[in-house]
Amino acid sequence: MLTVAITSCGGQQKQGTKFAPKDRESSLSDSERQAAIAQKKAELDSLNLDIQTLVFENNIKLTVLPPAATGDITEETSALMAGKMMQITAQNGVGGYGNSPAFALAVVMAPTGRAATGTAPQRMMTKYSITFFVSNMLTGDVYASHSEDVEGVGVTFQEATRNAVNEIKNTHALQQMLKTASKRIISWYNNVQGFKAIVEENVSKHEYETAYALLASVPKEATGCFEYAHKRLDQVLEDMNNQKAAETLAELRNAIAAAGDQYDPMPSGYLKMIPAKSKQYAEASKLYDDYVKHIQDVRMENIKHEQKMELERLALEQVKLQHQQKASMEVAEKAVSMPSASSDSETKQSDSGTKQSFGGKIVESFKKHPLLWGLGIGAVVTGVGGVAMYASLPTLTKIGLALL
Amino acid sequence: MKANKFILPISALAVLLLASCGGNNQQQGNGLTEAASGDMEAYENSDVNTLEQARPTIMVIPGDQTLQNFKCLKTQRIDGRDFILRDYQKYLLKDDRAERIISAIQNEFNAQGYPLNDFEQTLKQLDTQEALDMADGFEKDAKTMLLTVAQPDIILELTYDTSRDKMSMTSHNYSHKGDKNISYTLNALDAYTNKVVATMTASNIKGESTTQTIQADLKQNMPKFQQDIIKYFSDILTRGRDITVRVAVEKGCKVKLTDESIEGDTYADWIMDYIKTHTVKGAYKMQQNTAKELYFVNCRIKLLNEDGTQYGVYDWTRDLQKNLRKNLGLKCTNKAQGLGEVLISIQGIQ
Repeated sequence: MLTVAITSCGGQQKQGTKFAPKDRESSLSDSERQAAIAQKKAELDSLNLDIQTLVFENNIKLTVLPPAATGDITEETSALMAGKMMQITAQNGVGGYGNSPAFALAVVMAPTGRAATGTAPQRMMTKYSITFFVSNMLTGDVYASHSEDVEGVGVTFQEATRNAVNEIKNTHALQQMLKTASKRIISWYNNVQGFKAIVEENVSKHEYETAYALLASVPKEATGCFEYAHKRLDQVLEDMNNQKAAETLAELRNAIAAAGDQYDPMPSGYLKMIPAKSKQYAEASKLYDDYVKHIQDVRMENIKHEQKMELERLALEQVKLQHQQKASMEVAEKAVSMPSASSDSETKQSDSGTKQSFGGKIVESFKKHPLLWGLGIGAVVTGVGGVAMYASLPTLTKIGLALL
Repeated sequence: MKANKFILPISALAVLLLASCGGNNQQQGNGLTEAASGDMEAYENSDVNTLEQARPTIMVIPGDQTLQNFKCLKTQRIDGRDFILRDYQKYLLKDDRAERIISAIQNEFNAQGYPLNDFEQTLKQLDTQEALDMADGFEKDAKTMLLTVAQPDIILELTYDTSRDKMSMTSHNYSHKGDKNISYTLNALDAYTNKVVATMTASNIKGESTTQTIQADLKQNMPKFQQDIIKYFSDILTRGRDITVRVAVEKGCKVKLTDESIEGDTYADWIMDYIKTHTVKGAYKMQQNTAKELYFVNCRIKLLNEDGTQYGVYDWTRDLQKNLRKNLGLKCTNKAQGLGEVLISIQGIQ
């Protein structure tokens, strides 16, 4: 009825419009069309990332530092971002995780908006301002940065954030930022005097790790600095090892104290961390040898003690066995005098009146049928004999003689 | 050998029986293909019906109050702002009456020849579509994902509740639980203009079965409800489609709607004049006027082109976009959605 009513409403239009569509007419000729298509294709191709114009090989290792998993940023989202950053850095130069982070490509994800729709199913939307930057982790300098806004939609805010990260693409602008950063890093290294001053300052403060990281991070392209770093690196490494050795020696001492009389692999590990050339090595070796000797002595003492304890235990077992044999003999002797005991039981049974136990009924039946006496005694004797035989042969002989 | 003798006649008999079944159907015309009939030529030659061309989608969706009754609506505070979280799928699983009540409403509409889109099935289809899109590797931006939801043109929002009368203190009938009261509301809403098209409500109806009571009451009130919907569609046919129009400036664009255009007056003035002349009998109402956005409601647009092809919000936006580009040199994008939402975003000067 509803459809009919609605349809009739439409049908009652005064004009009574008929459906008479016309094909769209083009003003382009075939050749103009081909030329226009070619131009359009060229325009679209120009939007693609031009890899060749962006290749720059400066061999600067950029450690990627993705955002920490917190709030709407889950572990998965952080890993997704790390993967994207690795892809961006690996295109030019060298990307890496963790170790020796002299230079890093880091990212800051700042939430700029959240919204929940009133639709079914409900959708959550998050918006982030994402800033990538290349920095020197040792000096805190930032060489270049690039910001962009991304938004993501999902069933939860966490999913929306993950989808927002997924929107980040390896763009021309990002590669340009890396190129700029690389250039600035190289020019920073080309100031040899300035670089030397920073390294030596760290050495004078006994901050060998920082000095070593600075020297190890010099790319080949910065020739002046590279030459200096190559010469200086071994000495700084030795100083660093010596400094480390003193700290490790203290840790070795603590580990030995904590291990006590027990063997612990930790002291051995600490010893191996102390370079053989260092001043502390001899002392550390002696400490470790003493520890090992102490463990061996303790172990020998333990072995002797255990042997003594074992001998004592064997002697005790022997005494126990003798007592058991004696006890078995006594049991057998008692078994021989069993008939008189059963007659006592009979007397007790008759006293109990009508409330006879199962045992009492058996005794009663024995009274009524004397033949059962013979069978009963026979069974008892066979049982006792078996026990006695099991106990010992001499005892069995004695019992046999006693029965005879 | 003996058994083999019977195989052939039995097989022949079975084939004959099967064949006769098909033959009978053909003769009687009871099969689906035979019973269904239609004359496409006559239909094509008939006048254009604009509502048939762009048939609005109608869907029954549970209201917020019902979701809350089943603990499927919660508020979450993030960064000092409260977000209402609705879990429709959980509700459909928790409320065992939902399917029966929704089916009862759908049945009433189907009986009148007006098919409704099923909400539960739409949600399932969206999940399937998402998985298929993932498998096909389609690119999906945030806006696409936002729009990948159930999008009815007319929402039938259902809210229902039950309660029991309190036991009388003077009565000694302690086994009596008190009478059950059932209340429900069914609102038909235009999804684009948020206009209430029709409404049906009943409070404290007595009855033990919620589903049966609502079903019986729906049957009673449905003619009036459907009459209101017909009135709404008749109004569209007479005065044009009721739409909302938004003209917004994109982030980073230096153009302000209050700036002077090359025509001499401001961009806002020019757009206002366009709306006056391109709506049915100049029907529109301004809702918002800022340097970054113009928002109009109750704008009425025509339904058909002269050649009988449909004219919708996308076409209306396209015409406005062409005029803005041609006359004012503005670079803008057509972001119209559905049957009633015009959105044009200005990106700058070409």
